[in-house]
Amino acid sequence: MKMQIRSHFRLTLFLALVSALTALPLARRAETRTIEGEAWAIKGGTVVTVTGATIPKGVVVIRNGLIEAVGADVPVPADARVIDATGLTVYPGLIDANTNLGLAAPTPAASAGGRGGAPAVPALALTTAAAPAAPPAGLSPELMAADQLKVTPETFDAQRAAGITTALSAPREGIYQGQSVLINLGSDAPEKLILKSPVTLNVAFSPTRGGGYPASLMGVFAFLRQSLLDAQWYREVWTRYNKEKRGLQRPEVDKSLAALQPVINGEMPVMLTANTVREIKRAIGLAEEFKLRYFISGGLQSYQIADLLKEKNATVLLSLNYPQRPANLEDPESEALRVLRDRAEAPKAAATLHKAGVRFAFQSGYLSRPSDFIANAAKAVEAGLPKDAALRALTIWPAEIFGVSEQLGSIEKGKIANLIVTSGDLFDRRTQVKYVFIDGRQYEVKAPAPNGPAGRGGGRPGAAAAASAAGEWAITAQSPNGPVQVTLSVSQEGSAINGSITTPFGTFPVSGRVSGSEVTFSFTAKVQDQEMPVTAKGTIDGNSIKGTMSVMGQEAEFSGTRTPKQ
Amino acid sequence: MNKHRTFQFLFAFLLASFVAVLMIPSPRVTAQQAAVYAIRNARIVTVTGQTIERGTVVIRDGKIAEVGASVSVPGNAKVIEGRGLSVYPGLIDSGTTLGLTEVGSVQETRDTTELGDFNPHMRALVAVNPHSELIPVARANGVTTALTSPTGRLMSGQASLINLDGWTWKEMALKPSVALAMEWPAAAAGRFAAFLPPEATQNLAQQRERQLTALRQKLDDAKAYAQAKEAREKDKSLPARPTDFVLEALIPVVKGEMPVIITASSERDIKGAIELADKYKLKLILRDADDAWKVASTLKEKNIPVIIGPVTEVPRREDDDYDLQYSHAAKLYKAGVRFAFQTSDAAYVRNLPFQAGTAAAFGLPKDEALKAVTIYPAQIFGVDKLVGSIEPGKIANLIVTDGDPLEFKTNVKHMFINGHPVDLSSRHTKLYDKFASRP
Amino acid sequence: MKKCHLVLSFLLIAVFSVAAYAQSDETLIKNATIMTASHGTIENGSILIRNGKIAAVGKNSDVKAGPNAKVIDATGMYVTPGLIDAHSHSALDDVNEMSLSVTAMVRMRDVVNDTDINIYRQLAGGTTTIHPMHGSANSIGGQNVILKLKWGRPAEEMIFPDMPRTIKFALGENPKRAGNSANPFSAPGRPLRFPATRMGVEFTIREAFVQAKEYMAKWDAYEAAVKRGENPLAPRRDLKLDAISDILRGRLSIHAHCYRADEILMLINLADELGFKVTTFQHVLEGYKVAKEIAAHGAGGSTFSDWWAYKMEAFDAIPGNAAIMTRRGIITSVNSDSADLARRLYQEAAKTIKYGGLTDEEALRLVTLNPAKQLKIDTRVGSIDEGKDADLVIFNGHPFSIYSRPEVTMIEGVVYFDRREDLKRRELIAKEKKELIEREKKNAGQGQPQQPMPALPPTLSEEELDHGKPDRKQQ
Repeated sequence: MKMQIRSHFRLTLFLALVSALTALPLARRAETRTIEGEAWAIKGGTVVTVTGATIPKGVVVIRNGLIEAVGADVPVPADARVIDATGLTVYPGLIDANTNLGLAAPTPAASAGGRGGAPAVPALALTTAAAPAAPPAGLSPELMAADQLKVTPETFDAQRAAGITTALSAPREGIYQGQSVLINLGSDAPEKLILKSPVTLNVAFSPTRGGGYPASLMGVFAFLRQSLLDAQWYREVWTRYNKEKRGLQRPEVDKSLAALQPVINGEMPVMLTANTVREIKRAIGLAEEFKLRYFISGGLQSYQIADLLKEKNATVLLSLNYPQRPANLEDPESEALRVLRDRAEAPKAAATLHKAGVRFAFQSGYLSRPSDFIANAAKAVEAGLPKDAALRALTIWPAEIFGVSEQLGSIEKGKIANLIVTSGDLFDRRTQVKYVFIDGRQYEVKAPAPNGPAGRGGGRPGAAAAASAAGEWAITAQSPNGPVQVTLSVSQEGSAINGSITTPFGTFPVSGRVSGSEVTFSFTAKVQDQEMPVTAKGTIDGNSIKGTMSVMGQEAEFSGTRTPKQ
Repeated sequence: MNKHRTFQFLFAFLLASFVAVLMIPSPRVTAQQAAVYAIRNARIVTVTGQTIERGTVVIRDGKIAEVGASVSVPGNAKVIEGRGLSVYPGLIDSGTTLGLTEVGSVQETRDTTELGDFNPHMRALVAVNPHSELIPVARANGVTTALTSPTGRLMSGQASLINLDGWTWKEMALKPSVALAMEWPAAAAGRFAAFLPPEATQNLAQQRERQLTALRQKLDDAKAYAQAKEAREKDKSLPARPTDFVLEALIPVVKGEMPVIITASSERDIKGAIELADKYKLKLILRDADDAWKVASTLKEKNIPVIIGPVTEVPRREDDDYDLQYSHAAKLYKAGVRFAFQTSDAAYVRNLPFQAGTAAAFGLPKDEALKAVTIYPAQIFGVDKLVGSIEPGKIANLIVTDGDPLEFKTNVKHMFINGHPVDLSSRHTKLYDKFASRP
Repeated sequence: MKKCHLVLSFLLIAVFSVAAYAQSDETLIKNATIMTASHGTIENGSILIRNGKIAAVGKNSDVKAGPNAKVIDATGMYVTPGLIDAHSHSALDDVNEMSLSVTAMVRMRDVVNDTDINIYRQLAGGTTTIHPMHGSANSIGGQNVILKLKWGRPAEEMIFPDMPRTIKFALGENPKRAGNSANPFSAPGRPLRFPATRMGVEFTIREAFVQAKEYMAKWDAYEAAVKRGENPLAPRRDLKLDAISDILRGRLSIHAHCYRADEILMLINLADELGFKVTTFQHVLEGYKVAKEIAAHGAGGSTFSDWWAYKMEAFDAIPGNAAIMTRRGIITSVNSDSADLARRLYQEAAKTIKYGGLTDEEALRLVTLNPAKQLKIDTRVGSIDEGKDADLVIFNGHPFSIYSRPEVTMIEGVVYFDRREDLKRRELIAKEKKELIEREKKNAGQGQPQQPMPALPPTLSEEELDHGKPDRKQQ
């Protein structure tokens, strides 16, 4: 455990340094969030303040990025740029309570490491020929989402067009996914977008890929317990040392265990990903075992235990990414009634939580299209959630949950000027977002491309046109038995690739996607009638390709070249 | 593609060396089986006729010579006293890989699945290991005959009906080529379906469609090939064509002479198989057809039999009735569909009677359960003139038991295959005897 | 429409969770043939159940119920104790933590899946208690869980009351497989995991115990210092070594997956040398070869009725194994290790009569009292005796006849499976399903959001790992 975290620490520190040096050139530091002194007045619209009464024909004055005044009879300052909102509605900007927006894709860890949660297998040393596996990503609680922000002017276009102006963001990989950051979805330099960091430590109970510990769900729980116990022990060791240093051996510094201190001291909440009843109960069990403050993220079946959640005074960041009928379902009857019920009930969850008095806020749950965020909130309203509650779950409640209700979540004097102006009721399907203000700055509302993966994966900066992957590739994968030759033969349509891969075990259909120079593909190999899903990720450079294949959670490097056409 | 051709060439070469083998005569009775046996004073369950409460079965030259209450014992007969015992026809397992596999996880001992999608020219019989340790174990509870079948491909190969005794596979052969074993293209992604991106499932569906197209193409080709061959036989001036072993092997199939056994589980696949059989006038036998009961009326109407089993499989869908597989036979029986049981394995053939019995626990009449492991499979595989019941003239595949052969507590006391008494000991009994008496 | 659905859901939930007979104070099962598993068979017998416990069992004339007792007339029926499966991987969200050779810190109770349909299917086969175990990928695996199959109840209510703790060990082909590059489970680019031989398995276990002893010594020293009134720093807690220490302290029982006689002897020797006990050898397919030694160690044996030949180390497996071990004085059980067989443990027990000549009661004990003893839960379950939990199965005939099937299964007096109710419910399920599918089809338009991909494909099932044979279809 300790070895593991230490090596991670070095790596993370290195990465943080690299990103600090590259991501923030001095020139960008000169950019300002708002133009000093600039003022706006939105007048004539219905102002839905959320926390106070709705003003039928009101004026909202913005200056220096803040709401300077709001009311029915507020004078419009002479120097203000005026937006005539007659017939329109003004809302506070919406908050998405859990995303991975604006984060650079995680760099795969490359350094050597031990085995987490338990001492490294001593016997591993006996297999001297084998290099130790790379430490799996997602075991580093010290990872700061704030350090990973990478924003271009277009990154949040789709969110803004949907009226979302603020989001909590954290990586979505691994167990300790990192410490989240609350950001405004503007296009300034990252450090100007940050509202609060860190907000939560995000934890998911998902086994690591890549073959390292923990590779199973029970392993995840054992790993979490051990690391929290280690954090407690670390606290004790340092407390003793700090009390009296003389005569005591200096303890080691461990960035991961240090990062867990506010968590075990109940200062920083953990955000626990949990959807089914049993997942939620397990998550709560772990939090209670270590007396952690916690939020439940996801909460698909939370409505089934609403009373329990109320009794525990739990907070749910409810996902609006409702489960959907899978595409190309071969045998509709193979789907269990249980699953069908989950899908039918999902939109009703919010109403049930609300009725039971459970504190909750909405999150998009990595929805691919931000516009569905509001559309699905509207479904919750249709399913019985009062409109007012739905609005609060998108504004003031997340602000309260994250401790920023003094700055955000309603239209009140002195709060940050995150505002949206819509053509009508937020939950009406026909409603359009007309104006968006973030930090008092107006952003153009750009309609998302019809099929664009806008916002998916959190604004991967400037996705270039897809490279061509079509053709036949002779690829060598490095297995411990020596190299394995495979032939990948694909055609490409847009960003989608399809074809087949010929391996020593047989030929299998393969499909995937190209994004920029990055290609991902997957296939299910059948070896001795054993189905094994294989995923691969690589980079295309002209006629050469290289990358990693992952088989049952274990990885192999591969490289190859495109066979010239005869 | 190139590689594929190489393989095909290789197969062709291997096959050529077996050409002689293709012509083996059915070695039903050989000279060594001259002895005469009589089982007397036994209860005789003939299956096809009335049960004789106390009677005699006479075995001569490998065949059942006489059966009846008042049959006299020939003077030269070796006599088996059957008081308190029952005589049944030997049980028939309608789907196994007996002789083609020894140790499941050791690839080197498995000969069930040849490379390539189309292997109608592969013949199970020639790879049967008559000295497999699994064969004596398979006999333990009364199975004397089994269909052994290649597996795992669109066209896996020719299944063979073997008797579970013989010095060579020739001696074991009851019907060398019973049917062409086929597997309907699998429902795309199996248990990982939910974990594949939509484009991957789509792609798998495409792949499946391609396989089905190839399958139809192959059958079309075979019809054309057969037609051309016949034409050349009549008119020698037509140009000769090189032998295509795959198409050659498909001639009896497209002529409807050799049945196809198609493994198809879901309703959609079963319907697909029926449609294919209709189109090409194939003689269809369904295997592993979990959803057969849903299309029972069609199966009855078209007289398509179903090989059921294992009865003891877990239902595939979460919401399936808990007894879906247990009660499948009863449903088909009620609908008038023909059926037989299989174990679909090699190491567990001895559990065949329990497959049938479990179906009887869930609604199948007991006598139907017994027929589905004796006369029904014989009918389905076209050997009901030879085996499946106790009638004069049939091959003497018999068991003598101390009770109902489908019951756990019943023991097989004697077994005859091709009129020969068979040793009922096995690797298991030998190890048991050795270590039970360890001091 | 909506209302109809709601009512239906409610109905279903009601039927699913607590079954037809509510748990009244008293239930009387009368006119049954009662196979007690502990004291023979009672013809024309009655069982009185009070507050979930067996209050009385005996001849009809000897058992008297109160006037308000719910009466089940079991004329022509057989009653056995609820069947117990000593080796299961059902009702779990995950099975194998494959990454390390020693994973004693992981606990299966953390991953109980109370919605697994296999729970219900096994109940329908008379099984009431199962022992879901960690997989066999590692020499020392994880800590197992014991569940009562209270279908419809949440996981925490299924966990056996005051559950005795057990841990999985594994010897032979499976734990060394990860060290063998030729197997399909090792992936290209990944270093092989120690061990690759049975020698390495022995070393791995030895090393873990030696480390645990050193760890215990540190804690002993710490506690002694505390006792002396000092204020020492506690040693670092290590969940893995905590677990192995608990084995040495007798608080955690070993259930060791094994096949060959040599590896069984290896673990017995190691146990004797390092001072621990093996509670139960699991699978123990060659147990019949070293039954004397197993009996001398005092371990139990939990085996298959007739599995063999699916892998090399199973080639000497014989269906007489349970009988030979029983006759050598080993507490023996027959287990399923499979979601399929766990539905017919009564048939598995019957096979031992056929192949090993056991008596009915001996055979019945293989799936009731003996596994209860192996799991150390025999004070509560495993036989029909006064004071034990009313976990009972009602069969429509002799449980060892191929033509019999369970009709009713109850746990602590509550009926969780009733075949008549099951038959009635089928239509309701089909109807609700059809409605939901139709409604989805109707609502399916464009603008459907894409669901995020599940994090990870399911890890290897134990069947895949354990039997090496992926497509094993038959019992």
